[in-house]
Amino acid sequence: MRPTSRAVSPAILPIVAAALLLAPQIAEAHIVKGEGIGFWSGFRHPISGLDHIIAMVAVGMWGAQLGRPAIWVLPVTFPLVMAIGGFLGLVGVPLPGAEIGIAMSGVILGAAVLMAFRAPLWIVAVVVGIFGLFHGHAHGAEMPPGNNPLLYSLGFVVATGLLHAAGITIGLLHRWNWGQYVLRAAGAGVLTGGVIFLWQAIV
Amino acid sequence: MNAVSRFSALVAALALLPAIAQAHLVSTGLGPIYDGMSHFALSPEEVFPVAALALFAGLRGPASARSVLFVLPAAWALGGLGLGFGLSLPDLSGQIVTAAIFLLVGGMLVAEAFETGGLSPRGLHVPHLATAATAVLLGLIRGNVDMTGFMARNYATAVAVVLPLFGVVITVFILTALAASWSLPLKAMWARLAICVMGSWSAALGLLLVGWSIHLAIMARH
Repeated sequence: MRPTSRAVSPAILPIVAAALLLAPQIAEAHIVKGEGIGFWSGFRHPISGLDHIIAMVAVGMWGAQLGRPAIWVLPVTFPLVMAIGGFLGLVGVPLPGAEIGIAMSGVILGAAVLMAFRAPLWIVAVVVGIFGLFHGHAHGAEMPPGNNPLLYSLGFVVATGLLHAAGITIGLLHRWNWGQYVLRAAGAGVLTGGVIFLWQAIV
Repeated sequence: MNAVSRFSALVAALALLPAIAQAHLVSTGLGPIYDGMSHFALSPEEVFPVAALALFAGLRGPASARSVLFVLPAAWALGGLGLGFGLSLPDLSGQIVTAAIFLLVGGMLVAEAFETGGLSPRGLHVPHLATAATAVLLGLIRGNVDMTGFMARNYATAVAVVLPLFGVVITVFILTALAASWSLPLKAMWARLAICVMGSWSAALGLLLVGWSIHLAIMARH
């Protein structure tokens, strides 16, 4: 039987190179106002704050630590609830204590990973959902004015999803004994970061 | 190059294209059919829902994949040609309509995630008819919006106005075929769920777009 290779074929390279060469430089006839102008500005938004990064990576780590079905339920739940929070922030609905809620997400999620805390799926989903609401609201309220909401939001959502994927990838270390210690140490790191951000939010 | 590599190359090539939403038809200099093709490729509000719906249809099985493969381009053509023959619909180019499409298609993929993961009540799934109906809806709306833009271009003849639409319909067919044929044979649960998780991103995107629309309306009022 002819062996099949799972490696990406080198034949892709000319296609990618051609796409790069054919990509024209965009001449902007008008001055673009605001920062919400495209995919990359949206992509940079969730990864511009360490408080958001550690929480979103922790969601992925905790999901991987809990295994199925949490490993996929949490990455599905978080962006959706975060988008609801973003929606509320965009339309101007206030959410008191958002900064404290964001910092608490680092504390609680970090502690959950550190202790490998297990709970019924619905409780885990509710906890993650509540924190998603805080994160989303902060992003929605801070979203800059711009002229391309679709691409901006796309970049924003993709970056969030990739942070979860990074967390899940780290969380897969849970399969090995030594990996469980590494994962718990990462949880301790998230917890420490959460405590620092909580201190900053309160003081 | 296997199917996965080909699809990855196509996605990479599309991702590397400049991501500027064009309100007007792009002129490639290669004629109206290629103008239509490039118009589609440069319209993320069209590319992503089509790819997501095709991936969903592939996950649902051959019957859904076949129906979407033919129904979606046909509805796209009908939506465009209908406008050409005087069938005027309300303005569907607004962000709210785009948001609703993202929400609908993303919601279907989220539902599929719960079924694949064994968390949906037994026997509860998105029926084939709903998949086909979504394809009809998406095709009619976007075909109509596309044709509105093409007709504003002042082509010399009536046939010349239809050619860009033809280019779009061909591209929709190709993308649908590629995406559906990519997800159709997937058996590994993690791979199927990964696609569905990306579907939840689509639904999240739809929600954010609704928020943006209201936000911009509030800003305009002030």
